[in-house]
Amino acid sequence: MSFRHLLTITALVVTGLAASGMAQGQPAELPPPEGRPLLEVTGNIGQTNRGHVALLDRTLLETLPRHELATSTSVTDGVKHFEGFLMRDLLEWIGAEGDTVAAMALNDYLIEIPLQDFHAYDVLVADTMDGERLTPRDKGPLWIVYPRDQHRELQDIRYDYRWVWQLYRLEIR
Amino acid sequence: MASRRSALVLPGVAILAFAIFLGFALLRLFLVEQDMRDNVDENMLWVTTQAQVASHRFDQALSRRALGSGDQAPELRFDILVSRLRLMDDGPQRRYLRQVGLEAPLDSTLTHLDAIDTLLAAGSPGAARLVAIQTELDPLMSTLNRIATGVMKEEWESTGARLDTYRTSLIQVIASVVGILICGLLLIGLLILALRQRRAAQRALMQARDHLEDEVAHRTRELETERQRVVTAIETAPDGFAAFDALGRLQLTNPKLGELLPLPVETPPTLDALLTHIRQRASREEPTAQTVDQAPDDEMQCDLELNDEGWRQLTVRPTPEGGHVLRVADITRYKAAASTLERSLQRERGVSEFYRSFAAMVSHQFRTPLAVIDSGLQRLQRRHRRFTAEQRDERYARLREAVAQMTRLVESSLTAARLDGHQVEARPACHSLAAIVDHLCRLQAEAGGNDRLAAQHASPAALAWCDRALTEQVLANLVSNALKYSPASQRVEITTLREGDRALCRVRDSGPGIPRVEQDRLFERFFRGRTASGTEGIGLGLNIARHLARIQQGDLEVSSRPGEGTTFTLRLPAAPEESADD
Repeated sequence: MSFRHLLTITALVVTGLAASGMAQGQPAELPPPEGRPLLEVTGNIGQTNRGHVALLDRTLLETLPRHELATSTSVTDGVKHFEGFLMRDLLEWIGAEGDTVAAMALNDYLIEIPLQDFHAYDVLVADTMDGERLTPRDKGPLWIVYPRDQHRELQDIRYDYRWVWQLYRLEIR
Repeated sequence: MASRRSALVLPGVAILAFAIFLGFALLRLFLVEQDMRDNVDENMLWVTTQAQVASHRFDQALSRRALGSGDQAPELRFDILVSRLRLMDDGPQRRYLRQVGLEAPLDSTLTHLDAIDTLLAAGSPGAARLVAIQTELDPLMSTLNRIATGVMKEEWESTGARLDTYRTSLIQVIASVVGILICGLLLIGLLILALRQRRAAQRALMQARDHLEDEVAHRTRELETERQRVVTAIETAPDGFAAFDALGRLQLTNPKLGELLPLPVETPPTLDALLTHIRQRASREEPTAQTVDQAPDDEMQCDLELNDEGWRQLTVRPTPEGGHVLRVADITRYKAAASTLERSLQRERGVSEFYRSFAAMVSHQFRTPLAVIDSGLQRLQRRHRRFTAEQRDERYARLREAVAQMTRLVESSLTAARLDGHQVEARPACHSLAAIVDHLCRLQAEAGGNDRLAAQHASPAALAWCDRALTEQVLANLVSNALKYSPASQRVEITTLREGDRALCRVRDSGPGIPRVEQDRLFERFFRGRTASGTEGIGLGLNIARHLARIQQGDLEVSSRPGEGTTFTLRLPAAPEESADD
């Protein structure tokens, strides 16, 4: 394990402790989004703010604990530095209950992911890469990033297709 | 050794081949696995077609905008198209396209994309700008289609090539597996062969061991029988046996040994100690080969007479192991027989000596008196008528005297011959010399009527350990000589006394004496002194007297001085004063 990985894990632990503290302090009611929603969550969830849907703008998403992750990807060269929040924290926040989540992208890419992934690994929902905010022209606004370098079993094409970019919708099933 | 090495060659080759086949097969499979894992280019067709889809969706959105339908946002579709083409522009994807020669079409699409971006950014698209965008979009879409076709062709080609490689690898792996199988079968065969050989060897070993055990048991029985036989022989042997080891320690005895020898109460520790013990109880020892004093390293044999237990013969022989064997035989009867034989032989020799001596004396001494008698008789015969009666009587008397002398000569010769042949034995007892002398004087007085003998006893009895008859004969000879060789007027003195452990009797006359030179030869047979020439005699008396004295462990000596007389001294062993017979 390299020194960089050690740093990353240390950072994850520190921010994770902070996240649990913040999660307990969350209000019961999900406030309505003020800006343009980046992500909408439907399905079997406990927190909504419009009908049966939870609409989340950047402000709301940024209340979640921030995490960093350095890993290589299957479609880029070298190690990339991602920032964002943990999928696990998000699901807990909105009270998601189920086995799978259907992730949908702007280009109509639709993939089902077992919820177990997010408990087994620190799967990040990244909004920046190498310090730059992800845009729809790149792979933004949100990109599901698995800790590929930290876990050897994740270096597999059966996980590669779960790296959904241009994410805008989640449905808990 | 060579066969053993060659026996290892085949298994070694089989194992080596097994390893080579296995290693080759595993290497092949590993390479295939790596190749399959590294196969990322399959995704490229998807990436390209998705870019195509995005371009068509953008085209569709533009067309609908031109038709007045506002729900489709061309900007979003363009963003997606941009993201798709940027993905293709990213490192791995661009490298792949470069490899398959599709980099130029990619650059072309990116150029068109930039132009469209510029046109879109200019504001809400009017009809003219839509036409301009369409003009850029059409070559982009056809280029993308070309890229897709190329990627498809390349992927099918590479898939086909890969399948060829896989098939080749698979065939090689199958061949290797067949090789492994053959090697395995060969090794199994060798193993079975080796096991069979080992079982045969073990069976042979077991048989050899069984045979060996039987042989050992048989030999042990034979040895035991032999040992028993030896033990029985030793136990029942008429001789005693004892075996000693190299350090001289007693190893074995038989019961006979204890019967024949006075063994010490405690077990004798060594051979030397046993020999010393036996010698201390022996009264006589006669070495036959060597004495018991000799070191028992070599062979030794001796005869011992044990106190009141007869004779034993001891034989010590070394054994090949460095020890010794002692054999004790009872030779008492043998010794007794030997001594009896020895005595018989002595007697026979004596008889023989007697006859020889007698014959010699007869031939030597008898001629002269016989000649004297013969000449006297011849003279009587010739001159019978001329002789007077007195002359005839005198002649007869002289002839009778000559015959008497011959008779004495025969008796003396017989006595001397008996002495020579050891035919005379002394039967000693305790007698008083004084009594013997007195008896002799009495007889002399009665026979001759003279009283010239004067006896004198310094010791009351003068007890001697002697044979009375022999002593009387000696003394009678001495007295007779003294009377004969001294003047008739002189007395003969006889004295008895004790001197230490000897009883003495001295006979002294006052005759002419004997010259010194003749004294030494006086006791020789037939020696007659010069002073005795005028007296009849044959020269046997003193010789016999000294012999008789000596066979009684005594002696007869003479001391004389011419003109002063002669003294003969008889010495005999003295007897204790209280044990007189008479």
